[in-house]
Amino acid sequence: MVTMNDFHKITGFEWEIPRKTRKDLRVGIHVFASQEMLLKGLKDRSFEQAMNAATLPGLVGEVVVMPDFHQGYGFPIGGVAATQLSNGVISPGAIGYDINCGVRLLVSSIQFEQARSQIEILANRLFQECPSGVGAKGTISLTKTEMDQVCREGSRWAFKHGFATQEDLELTEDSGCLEDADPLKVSVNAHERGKTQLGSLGSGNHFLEVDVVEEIFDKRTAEAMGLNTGSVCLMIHCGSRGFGHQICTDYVHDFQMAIQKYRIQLPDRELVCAPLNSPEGQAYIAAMRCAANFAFCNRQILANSARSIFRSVFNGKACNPDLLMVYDLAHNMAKFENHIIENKQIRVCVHRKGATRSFGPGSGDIPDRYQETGQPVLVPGSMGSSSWVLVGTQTAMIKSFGSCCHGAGRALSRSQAKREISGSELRSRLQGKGIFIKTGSLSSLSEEAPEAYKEVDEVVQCVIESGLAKKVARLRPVAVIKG
Amino acid sequence: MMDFIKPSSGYIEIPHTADRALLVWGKDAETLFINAAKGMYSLLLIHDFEDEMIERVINIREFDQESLLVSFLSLLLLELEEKKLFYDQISIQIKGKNLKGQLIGKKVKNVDREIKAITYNNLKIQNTKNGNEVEIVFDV
Repeated sequence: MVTMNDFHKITGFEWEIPRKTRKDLRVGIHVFASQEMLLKGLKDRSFEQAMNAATLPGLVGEVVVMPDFHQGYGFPIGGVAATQLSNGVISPGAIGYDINCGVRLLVSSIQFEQARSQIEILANRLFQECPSGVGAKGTISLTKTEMDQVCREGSRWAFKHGFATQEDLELTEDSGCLEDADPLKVSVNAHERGKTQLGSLGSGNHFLEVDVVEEIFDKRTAEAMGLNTGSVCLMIHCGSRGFGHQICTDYVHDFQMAIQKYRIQLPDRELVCAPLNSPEGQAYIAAMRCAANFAFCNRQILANSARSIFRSVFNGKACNPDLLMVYDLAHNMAKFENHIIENKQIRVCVHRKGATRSFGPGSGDIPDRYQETGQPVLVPGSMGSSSWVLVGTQTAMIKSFGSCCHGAGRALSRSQAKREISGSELRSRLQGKGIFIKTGSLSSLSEEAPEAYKEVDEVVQCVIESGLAKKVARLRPVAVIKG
Repeated sequence: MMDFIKPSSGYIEIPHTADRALLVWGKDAETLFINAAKGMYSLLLIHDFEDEMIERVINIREFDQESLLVSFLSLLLLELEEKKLFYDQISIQIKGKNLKGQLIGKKVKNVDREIKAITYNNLKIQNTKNGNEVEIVFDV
């Protein structure tokens, strides 16, 4: 059991669990959190899971834990771990079942005061025309050949078929396509689950959210992103749907045998892994990239649907109803990146599970538009609270493998939230605050209540004080669409 | 394992911050697996069914009992997501690492909650004096 005595204080927002704390740790653990967050985190298994993650072979640096951390399965949510190419591993459980779950932000030039009377209509249209809910079929059904193309091409497939602009691709992480994705490494079951789900939101904590830019903190960077005070924005949070879930399921199953073959001992079977340079590891990477590309394309298709709806709803009511890309980023993914470890630049495989990239100015891996500012870091809050637009820093490159928090992070279990909060009362309360809620399930809505999450402002304060990101803008929700 | 009075259902939900977790028990492997299936279905909030009965035979072979449990539950989950099939009559026989059985059920019209996957998080089937117990974490 992890206690406060296991932590060494670095600053008021940074803590370390030294490697020597447990015999099987290969590296230490660096936690970004306030003392209050740390104490709350001791109530579940987050830090035990972080320590288990620190036993993976070939780790470099430290396992990093973001302030929106909470207990997950195998690896904690908000965890980041890097393995070296020569003797490191890849672990599907350290990425998660929803491969390339991520967030996209689009902004319009419509001012909220112009749009206010149309927000309810907009919310209804988004709910009706962007499929959401459990097992929802997408707006596009794919043949086997088309499915393989989406796996290989990601958002480029959407571009070829008129669902994306060139700017959309340029402002998506990895331009919306990871190379070397191989559909042959994906099971028939995964293909079957994916082929009807492109252009769908899913359920759980996934959402479409209409926001207003409430406050700008960095005018120059906000201008680079196209953000102005009072502008109406759209945020999309979803991932690779059943396709990614099945790929992760398949490889967590297969790697149960791989760890025996490669004689890898782990404290938790959900952390199963395979050497990066093994046939098993390479197969998973190629399959994971298919799911990642599917997810990029999925958010692109949803964005395209939302654009049509914006044009239709605001036609004649706003001078320009176009939605322009700010950025699209992943928060469940493994990436091959260069980082400086002990004064040497090395190429590593960075696992991020519930953590986003936060690359600073001058990085070769971010779009030209953000070369001088650093990349946008999108941090959605809970349904009733602000969301944040931050920007990546050089400090993040040094402290956290260029990573940052991905949201508010859960504080209450879903069952506790459901016991304590009524879905219909929650919807009324939020609507009283001027936030329209559209959902297919009031029962599931209560599980996503603001009270079930940490205070996003406190999470953001931690990453700002630690230098992992800088504030750019705060957004206020005015409509939320949930599955 | 937790200390409390066990309901006759054969499963109970236990706390988990982000996902869903069940403690499941059964006098033998077959009962444990069937109770795990019932528990998983209870988490999904399934309602409204069609009348037509559906029947299918299953055969699963794995490398240990935990993998057999995950594969069995994953199959039920896949049938629900892909074919909207819910099986309320499950008859199985487990011999070592092999499971065979018959599933009878019907089509579902509405499911309110999604389970993405059955995880191996600390998954270990424990033999107790009253049978078997296991904690299962579901990614939701």
